[in-house]
Amino acid sequence: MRNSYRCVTSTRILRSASLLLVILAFLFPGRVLAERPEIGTVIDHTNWQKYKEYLGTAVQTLMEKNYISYRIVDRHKHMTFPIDPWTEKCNGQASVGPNDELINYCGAGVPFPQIDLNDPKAGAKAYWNQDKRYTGDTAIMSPATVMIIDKKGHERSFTAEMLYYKATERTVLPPIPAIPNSDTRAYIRINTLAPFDMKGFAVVMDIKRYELNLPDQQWAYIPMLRRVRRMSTALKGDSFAGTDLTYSDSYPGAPYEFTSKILDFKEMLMCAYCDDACMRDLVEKRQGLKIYNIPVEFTQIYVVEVTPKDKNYHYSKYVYYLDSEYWGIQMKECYDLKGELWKLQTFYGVLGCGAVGAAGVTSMTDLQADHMTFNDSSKSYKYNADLPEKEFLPQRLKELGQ
Amino acid sequence: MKVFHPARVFLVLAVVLCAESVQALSLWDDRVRVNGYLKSQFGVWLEDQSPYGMGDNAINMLRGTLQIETDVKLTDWAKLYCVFRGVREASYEAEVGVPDGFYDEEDIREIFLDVDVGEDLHLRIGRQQVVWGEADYQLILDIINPVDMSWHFMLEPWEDLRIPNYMLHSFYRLPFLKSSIELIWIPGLDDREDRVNKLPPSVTAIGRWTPHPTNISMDLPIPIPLRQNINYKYPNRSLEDSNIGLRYMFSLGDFEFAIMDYYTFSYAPLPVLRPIALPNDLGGILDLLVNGITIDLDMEYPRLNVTGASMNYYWDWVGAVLRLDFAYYWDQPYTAKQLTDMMGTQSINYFTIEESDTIKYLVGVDRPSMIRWLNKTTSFMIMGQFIQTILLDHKDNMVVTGFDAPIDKIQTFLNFGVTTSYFHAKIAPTVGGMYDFTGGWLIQNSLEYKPDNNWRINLKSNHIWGHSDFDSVGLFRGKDEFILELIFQW
Repeated sequence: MRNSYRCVTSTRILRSASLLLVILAFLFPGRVLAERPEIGTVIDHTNWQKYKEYLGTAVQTLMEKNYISYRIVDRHKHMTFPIDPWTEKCNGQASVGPNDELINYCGAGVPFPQIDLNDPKAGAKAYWNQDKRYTGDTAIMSPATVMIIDKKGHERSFTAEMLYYKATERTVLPPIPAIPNSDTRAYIRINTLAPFDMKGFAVVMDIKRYELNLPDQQWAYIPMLRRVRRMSTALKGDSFAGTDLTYSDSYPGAPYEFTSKILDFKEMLMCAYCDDACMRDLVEKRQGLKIYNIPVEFTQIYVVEVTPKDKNYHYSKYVYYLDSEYWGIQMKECYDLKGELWKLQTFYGVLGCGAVGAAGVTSMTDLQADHMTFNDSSKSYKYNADLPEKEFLPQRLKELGQ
Repeated sequence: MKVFHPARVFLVLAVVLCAESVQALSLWDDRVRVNGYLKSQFGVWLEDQSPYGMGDNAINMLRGTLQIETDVKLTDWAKLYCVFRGVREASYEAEVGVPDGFYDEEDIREIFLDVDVGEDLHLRIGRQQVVWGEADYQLILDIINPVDMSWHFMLEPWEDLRIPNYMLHSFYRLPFLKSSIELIWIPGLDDREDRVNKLPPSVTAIGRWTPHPTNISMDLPIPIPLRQNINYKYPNRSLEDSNIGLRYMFSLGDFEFAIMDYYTFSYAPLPVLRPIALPNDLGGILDLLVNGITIDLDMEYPRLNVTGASMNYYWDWVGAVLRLDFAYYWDQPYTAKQLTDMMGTQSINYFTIEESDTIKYLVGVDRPSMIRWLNKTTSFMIMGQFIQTILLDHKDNMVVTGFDAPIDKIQTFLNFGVTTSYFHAKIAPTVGGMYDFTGGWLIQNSLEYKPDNNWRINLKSNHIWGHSDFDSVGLFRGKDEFILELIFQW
């Protein structure tokens, strides 16, 4: 049902798009009719302009700088996830309110599996979908290595254990779909293992349920103080541990805090599937900022512009590239307060790890400073492990702290 | 003067410099991790120290530290942690009478076993540090371990200054109010002198962080040779001299509270100098002139009980975390001077101990702030803490230990700090300090450079003012310094 509807919609859109392309080709010859590359084609700084219709804006910049190249592979097979039954069961129940809030969500699954591009709330629905995509009930990534790389290729890194626990939208581990009587949406715990001066630093984030409108909470164990300290969560735009990431790049806030608009729905080249061997290859063959031969496949993508309603937000807008099949974020472009393209966050092979949007390998590239943060969690990741909630209590930080 | 071996130092440096990137040693399928650092600290005085009885050598620190930490994951529920610290310091021309090796260490500084016992009980057994309370610069409820202030006053992280003790430390989680109980028992297995603060050499020597020479005059009417018989009365290695602490932590809404009690000792020594009895007859006086007089000085560490509470709260509206500490020191001991009439003149004739219930409290705020014209990507963490100490049973003869300087009934301090980082945390400047409302200042500046994962270079300067040489931080007035630290970590 869901796939057939999508096929019909896609066919209509493709027909309309084709007609439009023919008209535009007359008006702007040479600009619109990008060549559809063959499987096996390598796209790099020498030929990217031929295929730019299939490339995101920031990717075009990286191609031009010769920082990345793509190798086109076959589209992966459709995968099923534990939230699919919830998506089917609750189809048609949810809606988006006047302030972009989610109404009548049934607790798990993607709320809007079909999106009508003419719907004025289509952007908000797409953004809610990525928010509710399947990321596993729990996740353990240990060790995860975060590399901070400058334009000369000099690198620093830190290694950490990252734990994730969803208190809502649970579909595998009981209680399903949510921990009763909890105001928490999800917990994140990060324990730094190296280098020495960061070793032992640990942080727990308690992300509150959107509907309660409560401030998120955060505690950190600071080895130098030998103490758990309550931390302010006010500055989501603060750099995270010297990386190119901000705190909000993991949790930007509730979708209703943004105005979302679908800019495009089209076939693009994305690194949508990357298994263990593929991830190892990416990690081992990276040369400083440069990552070549990234396996990409044709993927139907919603290009969604997301603008914060808060004028003090640290980005002027995001542009998300959302996989229309699984709603995973393939790429995210961040624009600075002057409206200039600033950063590109890429999730390599969001389907390779067994969950969507929790990719084993990610990067955040600062296009203005030619700087990159590269996260390699591919060595060891585990989803839906039986992780007790007590692991995310501030007291646990104290117990573990050294 | 100790002899350095340049060839050995050169060899170590050559190995270290040749290493492109050194990481923690990982063994037994990463169940054992060994890492640590080599640190060299070089410091100079910024002011002449000769007015304070020290030599004129400007070097105040040439200290090498090797710290090795080992983590052993024994099982999923048990871990062993061990820290070795070795220290070598030069002998300083500026110091007077400080024996070679006074600052040296080769010590298993911490070694403890972490065990999860069932769902809610966690035990940590062994030599360790424990920190309670919210205050940063001053020790209000952070009083579980004594501290070593002999080698750099309070100008290093407390983590490096605390003296770890053998203890049983248990955490038990309770199901209501997100609460937990923490119990500490220090049975007294440590060396006796490790149960109390280690202070700079004094009385018979002048260390570089010894407070200014005392202003006490014994005012003896005739020149009599004095011999000092100092008797340190450290806590005994016995169960009666155990320390015990209990803390209960709980949450009410977004407020987090802790209430605690700690039965301990005064970690700072209190000198007890018995009255000096001078003979009345001529024969006795002649004997004194020939043989001198022996002063019996007892350094006492009386029992102390501290009851306290702390609270923190994240105030989302202002984006700040509020912190409170409150401590009630029952019968806190203080040095008291006794004036007696000696041969017709009033003199400080002996010291004793007076007690006063004492309140110490702190109100603090931490707030990260984006100041984009100064730093586009990283916030400034701004911290301020207001601290007061109130002696409820204050007496006029209470004095600063070792000095004829009265203790104020109310002492007020303001701690502050600002830190940020630039170039993706490669460079981190920090300014912090303490203001004593009597007119004293202590300012600490640092600039840390992190070129890669292994090297750290720190430039630090410390500046101390005081309205008097014999009061609060004024005891260290003039000890401004500049420090260069080179750290190789792996």
